[in-house]
Amino acid sequence: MNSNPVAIAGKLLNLAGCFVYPSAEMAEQLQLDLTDLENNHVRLFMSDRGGVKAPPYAGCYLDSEDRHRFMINFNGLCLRHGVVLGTSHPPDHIPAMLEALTLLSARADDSADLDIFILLDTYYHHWPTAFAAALDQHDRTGFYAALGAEIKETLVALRHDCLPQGHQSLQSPYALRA
Amino acid sequence: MTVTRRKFIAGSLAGVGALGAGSAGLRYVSQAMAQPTRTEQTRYVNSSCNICVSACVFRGQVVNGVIKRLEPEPDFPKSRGMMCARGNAGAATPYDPNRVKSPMIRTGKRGEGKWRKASWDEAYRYIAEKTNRVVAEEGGHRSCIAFASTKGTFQEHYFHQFREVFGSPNAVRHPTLCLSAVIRGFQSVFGTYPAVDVRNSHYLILAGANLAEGIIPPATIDLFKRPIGSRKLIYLDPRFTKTAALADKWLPIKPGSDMAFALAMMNVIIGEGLHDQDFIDKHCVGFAELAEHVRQYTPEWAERETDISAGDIRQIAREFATTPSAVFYHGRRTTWQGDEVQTRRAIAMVNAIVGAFDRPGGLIPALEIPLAPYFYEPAWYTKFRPRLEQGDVTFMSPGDGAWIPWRDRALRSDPYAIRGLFIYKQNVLEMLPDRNKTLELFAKLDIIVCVDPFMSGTAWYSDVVLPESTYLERLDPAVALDEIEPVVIFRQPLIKPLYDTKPCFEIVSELAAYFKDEDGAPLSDYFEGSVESHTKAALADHPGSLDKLREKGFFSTDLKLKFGEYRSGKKTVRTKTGKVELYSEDFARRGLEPLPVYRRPADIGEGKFRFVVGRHAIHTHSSTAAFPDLNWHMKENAVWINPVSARKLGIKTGDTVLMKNRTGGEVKIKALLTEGIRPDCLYYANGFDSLSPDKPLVYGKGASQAAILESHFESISGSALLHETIVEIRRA
Ligand code: SF4
Repeated sequence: MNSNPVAIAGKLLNLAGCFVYPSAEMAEQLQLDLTDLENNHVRLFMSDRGGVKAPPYAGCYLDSEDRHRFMINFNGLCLRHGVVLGTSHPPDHIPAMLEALTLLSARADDSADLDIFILLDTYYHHWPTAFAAALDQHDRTGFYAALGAEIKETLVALRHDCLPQGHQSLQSPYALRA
Repeated sequence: MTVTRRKFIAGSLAGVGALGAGSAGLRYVSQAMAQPTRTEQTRYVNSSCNICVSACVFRGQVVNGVIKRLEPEPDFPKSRGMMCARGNAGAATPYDPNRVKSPMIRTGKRGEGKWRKASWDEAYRYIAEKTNRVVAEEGGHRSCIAFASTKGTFQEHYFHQFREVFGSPNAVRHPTLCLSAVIRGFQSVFGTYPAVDVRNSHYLILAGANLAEGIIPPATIDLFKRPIGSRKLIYLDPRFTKTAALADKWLPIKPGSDMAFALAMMNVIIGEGLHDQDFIDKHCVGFAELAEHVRQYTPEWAERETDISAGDIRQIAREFATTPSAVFYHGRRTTWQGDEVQTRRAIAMVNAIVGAFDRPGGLIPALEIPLAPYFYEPAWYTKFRPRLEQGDVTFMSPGDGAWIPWRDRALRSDPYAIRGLFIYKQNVLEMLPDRNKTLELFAKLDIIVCVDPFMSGTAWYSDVVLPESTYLERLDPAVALDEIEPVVIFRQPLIKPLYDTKPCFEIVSELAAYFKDEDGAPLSDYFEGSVESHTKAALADHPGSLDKLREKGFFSTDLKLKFGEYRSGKKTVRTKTGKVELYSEDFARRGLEPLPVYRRPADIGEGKFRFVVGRHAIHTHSSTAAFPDLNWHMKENAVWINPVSARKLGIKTGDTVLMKNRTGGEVKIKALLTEGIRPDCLYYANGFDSLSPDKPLVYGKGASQAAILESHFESISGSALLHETIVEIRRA
């Protein structure tokens, strides 16, 4: 891919936009039945038998105790760099994190204490695989499964492209949920 | 048709992802000035806990806009500087991914779990359209819609304001599943449900009040922080609970015989002249009748009824009567068996005859800081019918109703049909005995609306779920707590409401706009102001108090309890006679026994067990079992069975057993062999086997009490009887 988050900001925003509650227009574009799309959105993200199947919150894929720290630290980082996360969702809301990534990476060029690789490694590295797997397993429309796979691939590629020469992965403070 | 990955990348992503986006393409974040600080931004917000009714005030620590933890407010007198683990676990509730995030309308069958997200307007319209249609079908009688709710939130009165202006008398609240019989029993003797001065008491008897594991009133802390040896604690319970472990004496009493124990205590105290004649002469009526009445109830007789030795009863009675600050604790315990109100009267009388009233270490009417009452215009309707179970209960509280007889009548449409149920935070499917009956009732209803932050079992079976903001996200009006140390508390948001949720006042006042009264005026006309303006109005007589609430989460005044005011005549006992009533003319006039008469509980039969309920240390009722931090400690419940009984049935710890009651209720659950329960009883904890698959931690795990409890009630207070369930058990 050989890109950075600034270069693919449009794509990140579109990925975030796919989390919006399905509308007739969206169903038409996807050539899917609106009710099916709604039922899938509800099951995956809002409410379902056995619990939501793919909570759109990054911290849910980490060790449960890490989620709190993750939210506090990520929100703190955003505030320090002038990015305000909406208050309608917890700070680890995945579409908000994708949008935040476009703004944070744009700020990284001017900010000595914001390293894009550290940002990606700390906050965008541990959950995408599990999130994509959950969507792949439970989505019946194909749309959300494709969305999860695309988010994962995009973030993996970004991290790879941003890896400084000779740099190894960092020791992340967050653990994956067992 | 499905979307493939190729199609997604080729077209869907750009097309769908850009739908409805704002100018910068941002939906979820915005830009601001950077805040050049490396440190965390921490603030503290004082508010009060809503996990149980104790409402402890806490200091909420909010770091970078996220609730990190809830710490006890050290100056809050009622909780003695404590915040329990359940209260702490509440900090995670706003972030639970399984919260109800927006109004939901059912699209499949009830309980099937098919929902669509709705706007508030859509949900309100849906509710109004269905409700108005059934009211019209019932000839305009609004009593066909009932309203269920529970105590604990400070916005419950708004829900009932909606009911009243809507025009239905059918309120069914939690007290008849809780303390109504205890309260009625003590009120009939002392004119009030008094507080207990546990801090100064040196001798306490608790009959099933499992203080060490229940909600945590100040009495619990006062009782257990005392050094060993500074008080004596006698504990009666068929189970060896954590309170039993901390007691000086545990007496595994036969269920249903507490009255026999109390009557025999009085037999000893009066028979040996240990009663407080001076107090009785000055402040009680009916002592002669009581003395005569209890002559028949000897300790030897009581031994056969209670399984407590006559020697123990005598010793306890003597110690109780001769320890100057002894008290027989009144609660905190729900109703057990048939003569529950009379049992509580007997316990109240044990206190009265030794003068354990209005003196340190005894019972004392609690104080309350007066707040200006909340006022709204009532609505008047020409079509009015009394509540369903009006004639079934002697002392009916019209605002509370009586769940068990009410449900029975609703099932029979007797004397009229109930067509809809609006529910505020009461998990009726998990709390009401005999879940099958509740499901049967639900199946009869045309519309079920549930207001709840979570998809409880009850919400899962509703037609519309309206998500309330949690107690950490909303402003709740000021409430005066009646206590030995009276305080006023409120709730204020630690964070803004997450998701598309609203506080109850907003929900019901907005919903009201979709309904009209008989004159055609919108019901929203009856709702004025805001929670903030109501709070200010309530505090009008206490200048500066709102600032104190905002800062500390509570305030108190110079209103302080003084012992001796009833004894000196400064205050009067609030019974009809103005005295402590050992013999009740009021009961006699109503055709009830004026003195407690003991009746032996029916024999349970060979090979059968009495199912008993009770608190346990980790959870509060059914509401906290799915809190991850608490669930970690107890992932599933198990039925306690005594090894002697288990051996006869070939049951071992860990075996799956089948329990069946007499009315078709049955559950499967794992067995736990323990000496900590009488051989004729079984017990398991509340909160598990939720009907809601949306509570994955407790869905299909263990067994629900509501599924095994039979449905019985006592007719003086209307209280459900929770120890009248007889079951069989065998390996599954
Ligand atoms: S006792 Fe515990 S759960 Fe109850 S209000 Fe206090 S802190 Fe909350």
